[in-house]
Amino acid sequence: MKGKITDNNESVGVDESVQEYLDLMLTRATEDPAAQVEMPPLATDSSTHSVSETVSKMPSSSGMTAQITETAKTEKGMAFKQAAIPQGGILQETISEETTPQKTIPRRRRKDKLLIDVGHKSHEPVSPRDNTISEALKPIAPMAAASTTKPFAEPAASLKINMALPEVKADPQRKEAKADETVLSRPQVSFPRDRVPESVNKTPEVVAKTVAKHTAEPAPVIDDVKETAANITDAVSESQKIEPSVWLANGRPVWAQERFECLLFRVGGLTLAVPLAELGTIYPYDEDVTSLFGQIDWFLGLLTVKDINIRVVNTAKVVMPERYQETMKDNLKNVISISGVDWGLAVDSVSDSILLDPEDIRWRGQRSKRPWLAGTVIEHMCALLDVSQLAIMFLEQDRQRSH
Amino acid sequence: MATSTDKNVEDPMLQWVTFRLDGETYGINVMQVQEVLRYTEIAPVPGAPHYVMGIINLRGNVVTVIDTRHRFGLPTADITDQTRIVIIEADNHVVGILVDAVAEVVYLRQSEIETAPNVGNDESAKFIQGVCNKNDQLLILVELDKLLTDQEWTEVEEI
Repeated sequence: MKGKITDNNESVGVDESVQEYLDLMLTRATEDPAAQVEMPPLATDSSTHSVSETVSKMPSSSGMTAQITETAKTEKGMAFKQAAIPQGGILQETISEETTPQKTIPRRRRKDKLLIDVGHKSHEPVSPRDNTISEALKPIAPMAAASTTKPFAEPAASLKINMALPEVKADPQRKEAKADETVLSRPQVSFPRDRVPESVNKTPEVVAKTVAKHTAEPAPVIDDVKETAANITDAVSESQKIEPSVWLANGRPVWAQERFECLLFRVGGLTLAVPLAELGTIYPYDEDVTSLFGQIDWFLGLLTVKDINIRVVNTAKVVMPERYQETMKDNLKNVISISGVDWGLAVDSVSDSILLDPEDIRWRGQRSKRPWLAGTVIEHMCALLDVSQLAIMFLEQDRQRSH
Repeated sequence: MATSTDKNVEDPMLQWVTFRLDGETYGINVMQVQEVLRYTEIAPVPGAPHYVMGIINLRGNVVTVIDTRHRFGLPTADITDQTRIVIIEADNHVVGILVDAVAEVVYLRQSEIETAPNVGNDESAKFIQGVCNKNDQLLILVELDKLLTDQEWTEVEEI
């Protein structure tokens, strides 16, 4: 405790006088265990201290109202009058008039009393009435305590904040922005100044979650062959992406706005046409196609070509399942790969390539059924296939890729 | 600068025992293969599941033999001199699988293994772990742990 008590009883500073007043109050409380004194808040202006003014501002909750009969002055020494605290169950304490520091209790004695009050296990026994001393030493409860707000109560509905993860907005100026880059920014929240919603405290958690989400996972340790074999990656398949054909308002796909070349082929007695731009390479269909068990019936197997495994499709089974016969499989001679994917169409034979005008084709308007059928080539009376839609169907069927 | 040790850690070399089945070559993890037996008489067990061919006596131990063709949805075939019974350990169970022939042990790097298409509704497609091109041949790698379900493993144990 601060404050000096000079031997010659000289006056002390104003702040020190206030402190001494407080000490006196505490001392009185410790000396008389039945006493309870409500400490008024200190005035901001340390030069003058009016207890009455302070008391008038004190809350009247729980009946704890101290009534100071006389005004205390702190210019020189402390002069206090009796402070009566009328309330049930709480003994009243009278503050004796203190004019000179001489009557203050020595500091060491005050300290000992305080140690007892705070539960210090000294050699002195603590009387049951000492419990009230600790109660007296409790600071004045703030006004906000009178509210019914619970520590972790949910904020008001009007103050609830949507704490979704911050969105990643592409910066047009950054040409090389990474796809997985995330800008961690605190969401902008506005709330009334007089109330601080508890939900604000949730912000660090959200940020922490975001950080944890984007923290790189530790590299897996390869313990045995089982775990190693399970982590099979397909670099080729992961890079395969195909976009569906965009059909314009004129009822034609983008690739058929002008003249375009088509390849004619036959399968199962049917002539089909495919845009040449969407095709890859033509391979021979032979016994090198490796069948896989447990696959769908239109999947013939894998054709290995230069370390690339082409997934061969039974074209006749796909385009005309109602007319398909197993004997048709014997006539397959070629595999036409689709550009951009590892899928190929098994066909009987490949004919010529022709140049078509968009006007030479009767385009399909509604393509809810058989979306891979683009239209009919009028002159050749053959179906025109939308290869991209075929590829999308194949990829969707591949459940591993869809995960 | 990546060392050879780092490369082995990043792309380990795996060993696979290959066998023939219905004209195709399959591979299984060498760590799961206990031994390879010549074909011996398999005693059928009444009331056994349809994927069980029967049991054999292996040095006093009864080992259940699984019909691999039936399990993979392949047509049945006759027994030949090349037919073998591969004793494997899968999912803490020891069973035998009947194959047309056992080929060799191949060394494959993890990077050489590609994912196989999975466009079928048949449950047997789940056995395929991946495919790999080796020596101008396509190997179909089989995941033995998925050979049987937990319930089926229980049924096999009760034979």
